[in-house]
Amino acid sequence: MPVVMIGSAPTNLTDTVLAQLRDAGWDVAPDESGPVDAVVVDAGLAEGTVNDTAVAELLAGARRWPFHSGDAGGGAIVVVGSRDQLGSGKRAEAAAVAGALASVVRSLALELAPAQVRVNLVAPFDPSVEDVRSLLPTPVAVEDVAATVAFLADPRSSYITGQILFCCGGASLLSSLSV
Amino acid sequence: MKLKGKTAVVTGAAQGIGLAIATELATQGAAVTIADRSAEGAERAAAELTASGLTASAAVADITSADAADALVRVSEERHGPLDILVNNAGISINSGIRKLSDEDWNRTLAVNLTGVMNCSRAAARVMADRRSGRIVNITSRAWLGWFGQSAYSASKGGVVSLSRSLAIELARFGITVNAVAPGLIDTPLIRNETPEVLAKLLAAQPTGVIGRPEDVAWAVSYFAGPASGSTTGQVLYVCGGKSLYTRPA
Ligand SMILES: NC(=O)c1ccc[n+]([C@@H]2O[C@H](COP(=O)([O-])OP(=O)(O)OC[C@H]3O[C@@H](n4cnc5c(N)ncnc54)[C@H](O)[C@@H]3O)[C@@H](O)[C@H]2O)c1
Repeated sequence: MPVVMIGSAPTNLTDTVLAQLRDAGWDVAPDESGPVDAVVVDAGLAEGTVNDTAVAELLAGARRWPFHSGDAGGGAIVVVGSRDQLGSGKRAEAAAVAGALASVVRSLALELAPAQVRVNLVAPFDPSVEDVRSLLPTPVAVEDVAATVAFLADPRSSYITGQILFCCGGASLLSSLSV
Repeated sequence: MKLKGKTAVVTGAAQGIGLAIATELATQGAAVTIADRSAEGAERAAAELTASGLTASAAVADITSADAADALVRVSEERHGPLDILVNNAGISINSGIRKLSDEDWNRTLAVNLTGVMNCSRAAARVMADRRSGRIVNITSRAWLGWFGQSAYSASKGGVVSLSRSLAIELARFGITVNAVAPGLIDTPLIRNETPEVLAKLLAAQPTGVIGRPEDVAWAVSYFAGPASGSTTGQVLYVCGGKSLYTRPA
């Protein structure tokens, strides 16, 4: 199954996502004319960059990417945002983009539902960027974030759309916006 | 075979969504204890799985009893070894407007859907904490957001959401993750008995125009039960075809 990976810059996370998708049998370098089964968008926020074109790119891309059409049509968009969408006392600019991405994901999920295109978001954080800690004994692993992206991209997740999964070892649970 | 060598208990697994979860976990390699208050149903389900070469056994348990929940975890460990995964799926749904809601229906709903989840989680947490690892997955419902005639059901499922979050926070340091899956409309016998008019209405209220299957829920549970969710805890994942996105009663 063809999957396209769109990242602001090659990062450790995008590399790991690509490697895992390849291992799971996805064709990670498909023909650009499509059709594609999935598009993964890494806005780069979890790595500390503030890519304020990410929202516009997602909006434009979602309506243009060559997903399958017709009865057996559809596909998946998985966006990697940031738990900063909950608000941040230190990274308001990143939070603004992360928050916008979250509401765009929910809106596109509704807009594209009739075409069976699913849109979901993974909200991780990078401990080297943010002063937060996983509640679990081990730090948030980039492999876990990538595996979560692969889970949402999988066609077996076809009944999941518009959802946000925080990959933060429980660090976001006190926020009233985390549920 | 992501769950090879793992053991799991699935409550309410004699039929419906629970059976699909048990089948998925067993197919991914886990040894599964099929727990249900119906002995006959649990036996039938376990026989079905073993007949297709999977590892499963049946256990009778009414999860409203704390003793039964403790015994369930003990029996599962005796048969299959240390418990890795608990899926709290057993639940009942009684609809009634608040003005006609009986004490009995309210108490029964809370006893099965909320106290039952606590009973099994407590029993599992005791053995999992000692071993510094474990996965608990609770089946709540999209209906916890609230709906007409569902005060008892939605309150019980809302209780499951907050129970899951507290357990996630408390058990994280033991390496135990606790997450919840919130199914929306799922194709079960319950729905097949609806009149064509009701069914059409239900379908029209689905953003994707599709009704989910028990297998869709089982797949999401297998993510939270497996290695991919190592950094994910305290989450509520809606498996609802996007119905949880509506911003007004549809
Ligand atoms: N079917 C849906 O559309 C839907 C939607 C959202 C949530 N859910 C939830 O999914 C879960 C499974 O639902 P289902 O539709 O498969 O239900 P179901 O009625 O088909 O199966 C429930 C199983 O739980 C068992 N059970 C009930 N009370 C028990 C108890 N006290 N102790 C042990 N076992 C008990 C029953 O014997 C049965 O085998 C429930 O928690 C339900 O609330 C279902």
